[in-house]
This record gives sequence, C-alpha cells and structure tokens, in this order.
Amino acid sequence: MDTLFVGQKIIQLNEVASTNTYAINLLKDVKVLEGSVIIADKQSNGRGQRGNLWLAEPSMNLTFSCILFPSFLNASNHFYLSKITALALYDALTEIMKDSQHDIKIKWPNDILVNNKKIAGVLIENNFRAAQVQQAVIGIGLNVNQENFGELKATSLKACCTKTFSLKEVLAIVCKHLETWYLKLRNANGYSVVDGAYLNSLYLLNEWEHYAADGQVFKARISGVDDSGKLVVEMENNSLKKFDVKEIVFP
Amino acid sequence: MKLTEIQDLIKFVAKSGVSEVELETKEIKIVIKTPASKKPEPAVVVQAPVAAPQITTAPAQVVAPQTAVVQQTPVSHTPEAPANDDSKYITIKSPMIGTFYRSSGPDKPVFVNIGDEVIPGKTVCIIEAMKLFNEIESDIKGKIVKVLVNDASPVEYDQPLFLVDPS
Repeated sequence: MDTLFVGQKIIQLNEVASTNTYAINLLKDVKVLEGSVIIADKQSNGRGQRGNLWLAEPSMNLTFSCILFPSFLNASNHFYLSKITALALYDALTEIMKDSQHDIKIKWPNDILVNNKKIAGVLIENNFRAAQVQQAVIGIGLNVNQENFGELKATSLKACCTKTFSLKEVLAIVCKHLETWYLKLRNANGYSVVDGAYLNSLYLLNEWEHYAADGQVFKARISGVDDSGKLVVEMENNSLKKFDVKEIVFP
Repeated sequence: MKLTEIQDLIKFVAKSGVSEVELETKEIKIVIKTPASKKPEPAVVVQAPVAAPQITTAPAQVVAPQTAVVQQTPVSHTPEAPANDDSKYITIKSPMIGTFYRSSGPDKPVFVNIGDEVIPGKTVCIIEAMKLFNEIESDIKGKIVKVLVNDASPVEYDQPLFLVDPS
C-alpha cells in the first residue's frame, strides 16, 4: 500500500451486513487510526441511498469503508467529502484502465460511470458535533470482476477491459487516490482545485438534455454544482434552477 | 400576612445578623436571605401560592428598592404550574440544510425520545444532505423535553431540532 495512512490498517471481514455500519460501531467502541479500511468479501445488507440496497456478488467486487477524521471541514463544506471520493475513484479508474479507451464520468452527486454505465457508488456517513465533522465513514462499492448485472445499467472493470483484476491491487490504487485528494482538500486553495476537477469530470456538463422534475419533462443543461452540493441547471429561458438529489431525474 | 408585617420582618432579619430565615403559613412562604458580607439590605425570596398571585405582586414592588430578590413560585404543597417558559432549555440545532431523520432507517428505533437523557457524543438524529448521511451528536448533557421537527422533514441551517433541559 503506497500511502501515508489511507489503507495502512485494513480490517478484513468475510461477511458483514454493511462495512459502513461496522465502521460506525467500531468508532464507538475503540480508538481507530485515521485511514483505517474495513473490507468485506460479502456484504449482506450493503446500502445505497436510504433504503436502496447495493447488490454485489460475493468476492467479485470491492466493498469497503474508509475512516477519516476531517475536523478541518465545517458543516457547510461537507459535500467536499463527496467530491473528493468521486475524484479519487475517477483517477483510480483512469489509472487502472489507461490501456483502453473508456469514457469515465462522475455522475452528480457521486456515482461513477464508465461508458454511461454505473461502475461505482459512494455512501458517506458523517458524525457531527457542534457543527464540525468529527468522523467520516466513506463507503465505496466498486464493481471489479462481476460480469452479470441483469437488467441493471451497470458495468465493471472486467466487463470493460475483458480481464480479471486483483481486488487487493485495485483497493491499493483507490486508497492512494483517496489519500491524494484528501490531502489536496486540506491545502490552502484545496476547495477551488477540487471544484475545478469535479466539474471537469462531470457527466452531461453543458449538454442540453431532457430532465424530469415534479412530473414535468424539460430541456436543460447542467451548469454546475453549488456549495451545498445542489445541481445547478440552466433552463431554456436561460434562468438557473437548483435541484436536490431526489428532485431531478436524469435522462 | 400584611405587607407591613413582611417589611418589619425584613428589617428585623437584617438587624439580627442571621443569614437566613424561612417562614411558612397556610397562604404564604417567605425566605429571607442576607448576603454573606452583612449588608444592611437582605435579599428576599417570597414564595406564594399560585392561587393568590395578586397578593404577592404588592410586596414585590415594596421590596424591590431594597435590592431584594423576589420570586413568585408556587409553594411546595400546590401542584406545579406547567412550564411555559422554554428559556431555561437549550436547543440542539441543525448544522446544515437537509432532511431530518429520527432513526437510522425506516424500520429502526428512534435515537432519542422525549424524557431520554443525552450526553455529549450521544447521537440524536440523522440529517441527510446530498446523499451524505450525517449523524448529529448532542454537545450538551440533559434531558430531551421536546422534538421540534417531524421525522423525514426538511430542515434549514441552524434550525432548532430538540429542546433539552440541562438541569
């Protein structure tokens, strides 16, 4: 593991309901080193958004959680954790798939798409006291060697590159980029560097598409993301509208 | 007890040099305290039954110029009046814009109920914002008196979420 702290301590589990939940409970019980990673071969109750399950075949994919203590972040900036995680995955996939041509994008707020199909998802659970982030548990699900996704519009590294990957090596690459972006965020101009990179990789940025919200279909183009993480889109009459995660449906 | 009798009593206590006198009758309870520095004007606490508040307002005005402390509270044998004054309570506020959840999942028990004790570090709710789930911990010690927001409803930055009685 070519890092200072992310992934230096790895807790390997055979099966767990959710690595995020395991990490949160661990933090309540014992002192945990920053950068500790909890990884499971099989997650029986991996979670996406509230209530959504993350479906992964056992031992095929990477499902892990990384514990960070970003006490430098205040509540109004907590979306930056989402941005740096998406950027870390973006850079990791770019490095892993550098030999073949693929279109890698960050789909707002933090899904990763390869050739318009979902390859990775992120679920972050923070812990706040007095408006400061005390602990962050960064949950990542990355499809690696799974090939069958049924009806889902999903893909994996193997499906893209037609070869089998070592989960350990993929984990090391993701950890390396997560640490890099986490340290970048702490730099003096970290926020603007992260903002620029995130926008550069954003799926459908500046492209006119049909979206749906409030039961209405309308033409608009994504112009950016505001500080709180809301999607900013430009409507056909040039006015700007902001949307929360479940308020807008992508094409 | 007549107003003049209370005044006489205060003067008597002040002169006597005792630090505290408690007097209770059927209709009134009086506590007179003298500051430790032996200043001539003693501090007075008058406690009267809620049933007769008009009687006790008068002494309050009389004793006030003597830098006395006057409080009107029910005597111990009368039932406590409902506490409408929330100023003694502390609020736990939302650190962000998002959606307020009282439990970690739709089928999970709530983190805290009214009457529960909280201590710093105790999780009281989750605020979901942009797919980030933020466990909010109490930064104070006390008892939950009121939950100010309905489950799964939107909250603003700094919006009070819980009333906590710190006593």
